[in-house]
Formats: sequence, structure tokens, C-alpha cells
Amino acid sequence: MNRHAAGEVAALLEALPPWSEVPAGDESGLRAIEEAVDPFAAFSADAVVSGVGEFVDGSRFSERGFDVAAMSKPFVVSRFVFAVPDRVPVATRQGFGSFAGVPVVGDSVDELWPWELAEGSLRLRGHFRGYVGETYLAVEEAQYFSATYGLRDLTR
Amino acid sequence: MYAYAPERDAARPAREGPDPRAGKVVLHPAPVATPDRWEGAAARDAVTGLPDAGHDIRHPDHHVGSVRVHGRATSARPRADATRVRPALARPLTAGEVEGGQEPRQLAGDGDGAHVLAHTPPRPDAVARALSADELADALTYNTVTLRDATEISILRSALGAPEGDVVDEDLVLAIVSFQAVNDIRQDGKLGPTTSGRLSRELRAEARLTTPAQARPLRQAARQRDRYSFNITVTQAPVELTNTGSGEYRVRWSVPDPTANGWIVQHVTFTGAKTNAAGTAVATNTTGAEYGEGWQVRAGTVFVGGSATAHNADTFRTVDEGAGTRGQLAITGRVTFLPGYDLREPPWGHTVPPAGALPTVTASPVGWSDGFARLHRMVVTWDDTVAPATHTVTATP
Repeated sequence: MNRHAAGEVAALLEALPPWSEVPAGDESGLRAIEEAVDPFAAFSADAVVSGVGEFVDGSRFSERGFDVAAMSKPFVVSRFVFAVPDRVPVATRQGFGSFAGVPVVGDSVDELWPWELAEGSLRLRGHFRGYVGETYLAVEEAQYFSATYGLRDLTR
Repeated sequence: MYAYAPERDAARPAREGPDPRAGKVVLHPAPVATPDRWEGAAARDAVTGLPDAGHDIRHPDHHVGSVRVHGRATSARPRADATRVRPALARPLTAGEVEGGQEPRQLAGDGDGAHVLAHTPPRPDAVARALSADELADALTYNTVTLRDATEISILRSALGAPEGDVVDEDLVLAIVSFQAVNDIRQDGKLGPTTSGRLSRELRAEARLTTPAQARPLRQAARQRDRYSFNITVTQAPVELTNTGSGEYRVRWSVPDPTANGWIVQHVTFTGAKTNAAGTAVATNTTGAEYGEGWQVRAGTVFVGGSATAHNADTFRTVDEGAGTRGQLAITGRVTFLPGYDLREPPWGHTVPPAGALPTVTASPVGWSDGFARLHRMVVTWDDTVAPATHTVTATP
């Protein structure tokens, strides 16, 4: 795995506007994040996973630690980069973060949220609704997404 | 210090059947908690219970003088300050004696009137160290703040072998030191987390040797100790991220006793209300649900659920609710440590997405009571409909 690529991913995450800080109703804030995640599509799955790891490690040593603003960055990116489906059975779903507002429809969880597939393209539609629980296991989730779903075809 | 209390031991009740001394001991009634119901309460009978499942922990009906029944017990030697030792039994138990004709006893040094513990401690022959005057005063202050319920104090004194009573005093502190000595834990006379956890084991061990009615107050007292057997450390004090509803707060659980095993369980609820400038109620941006979630404790280390990932922090975070609004958001956790809890899936599972990697349950486990858990809460209040706007964020602890 190219360590340099992982570092680039971590730097991109650092520069990414935190999804959790976009006020409800602020569509331009969501559009800004949509544009900012595009560069992640250029990296391999391993680079993304390692980059998330570097970003999490770096956050832990920052003044505010791995707070919700920091957590919300890999939460959005992992769902963009990996081919996460929008319907995952509740019974088999593996949870890694405690973000509130994840839609549950019948016996399925919308794992893709806050993204939506619209006309073949991903759109960031959901707003942050709160966080209640254990620290987000961002690296573990990225590893799981990579192994389970692989990279998303982002040639849109 | 450790001594049999004749008035308690002279008439040990049988394992089953009525207490021959029932009604002869005047006790302080314990508070009766309101039963707690979570979502899906109708299904609670189907939920795997707490370690004391099947026992209603909310009905105090006990007689402190009747709880001193021991089996396979080990004692600590009495303290040298014999003035504190209560009169010995008319016929002291001796090593190897069969108590109640049912179980053999292994009593280390109890022929001279030592207090008997139902749960075998690691160092039964340990001699307690003497506290300095400052240490004693410090312990008295600590325990006075920690212990407020007279009934609980009387039960703890009985379990620890202190003279009967319902107050925190020097006798209780010295009994705690002796208990700490035989349990091979720091001898400071304070009913801290590790001591509380070990005392909970002792109370439960005693409860197993009594009648159901006699066991209830012991289990009740054990539950009280359980909730102080772990630490809640604030790793990020509550902060206001905006002036209209957004706040964040982080804590971490820890269990100081390296021999502790079980689960930390938190009952989470969310309440929120918001109005716009016209005073009309509108939906909050922050959402929440009610559920229970668990962190496994293995050898004193807290893990994310039953995984191998160490617990990091429990975070509460609310969302900005917008200018020109007023309202209040509250995320409330009721959390305690359940030693030996057998968390089974089902009824526990992973059906509550916001709980992330933690196992969850949406119906209250049998025997659960918020009254036996510690409060963990963040409340955000704001009013942006007036000038000047007001806003606060508070948290417990």
C-alpha cells in the first residue's frame, strides 16, 4: 500500500468541511461537501482505509480530539467511496457509529444515508441529526465496507 | 473489628421458611422506586434478566438482623482494638463446623469471634492497617457523601461486621479497612469503586444463602454498590457549539477493579421541544430514541459491546436548531455496572442503528430500575426569540 496515498487521503479528510456542522436546511453546505469528496474517488480501497486510520490517529491528538465534527468526515466519505447499498437488513447490519437519524424502513436500514442515489448519481441529502453513543469506529467501518462492498463505481 | 453480633447470629434463620425473628427488628423502610418501562414493556418478561432476575428488587421487606447466614465462609481476624469487638457468640462457630447442617464452613481464624464473609476473600488472614487521623477524617467525609440512605448503611454495616447502626462513623470506616485488607485492595477506608464492587459480591453471596424475602434488601444494597463500582470520567466538558441548540459532551466509563466482569448498561432517552418565533411547536432537528445499550467489562477493561475494541468514549451531541427558535434538548442516560450479567442475543441485538456497534435492547431487562443507575445527561436550552438571546448547556456528571 502506498503510504503517500494514505497521507493524501488523510489530508483530504482534514480539509473536508465537517458534515455535522452544516446547519439544517443549508443545501449549499451539502453541495460543498459533495464537491469536496470527489478527489477521494482516485484512491484505492486500501489507501482510503489507511488514510482514514491516519486521520483518526491525527484527530485523537488534536485539541478537540476525535469529536463529532471529525467523526462526521469519514462517515460521509466511506459511504461515498465504497459501494454501500441503501438497504441493509437490520438483522445482518453491522454498526460502527452512533449517528442519529439513520433511516430504518421496515426491516432495513438505509446504510447509504446521508447520501441518496438520484438518477445514477450520489447526492448528499441528509442533514446531521445528532450523535449519541460510543466513539465512531471509522477504521473498522472502512475495512468492513471495503471487504463487503468494495469500491463504488464513481464513473458517473 | 470483625465480630459476630450475637443478636444477629444467635438465631440464624433456616435457608427456607419463615424468619423466626421476623418483626422483632425495627428498620428504616427503603424507598420504593417507580417501576420503569421502556418501549416494548409488554415484552419485558421475555427478556433475559439481570443477575438477580426473578427477584423484584423494588420491594424492601427485610430484617437486617436476620441476614447473617453464611456458608463456605471465610473470616478475617478481628482487629486488635478489642474495645470495638462485640461480645462473642454464646457458642462461637469453629473452623470446619457445618452451619445449619447443610454446608461445611472454612473459617480462617474465626474461633475468636471473627466476622464471617459469605464470599471468600483472597487474603482472609490479612490484618488491616491503621489509618492516620487525617485518613480517617478523609474517609468519613468521603463515605458521608457517598452513603445517604440509612437502610443501605445498616445493611452495609451488617455485611462488614460493624456494630449495628445506620450512620457513617469511625466503626464503619474501620470495618471497611478490614474488608479492604482481606480483599487485598487499597486500604483507605473509603467505599470507592473497587470496594463497592467487592462489597456487592459479598452482599450477593449472602443473598444466595438466605430466603427470598431476606435476599431482597441484600440484592438491593448490592445494586446500589454496583452503580458506584465504576467511574464516569468527563473527557470533554459540555460545550456550546452554537447559541441555538448545538452542544457536545463526552464521558468515558472505567472499572478500576481488575477482577470485575460483567456489562455496563445504559438506558438512553431523548427529549426535545422547540417552538418558532410565533410560539408554534415545530419538530426538532435533533432526533433520538429510547433503548438500552451495553459495554462488556472483562477483567476490569471496558469494551465496545462484546468486541475486542476498547471503549473510547460515550458522546452526546445535539444539532443546531436554527435562529429565531426557543426550546430544550435533553439526552439522558441511566447507567450502571451489572457484574456477572449474561447479555444474550436475543433479546439483545443490533436493531437500533444509532447505538452503532453496541448491542441494544428496546424493552427493559427484568429487574432493571433507573433508580439503581447513575445519571448521565446533557441538557441544552436556548431562547433566540428574545433579545438578548439566552442559551445554556449543562451536564451530569
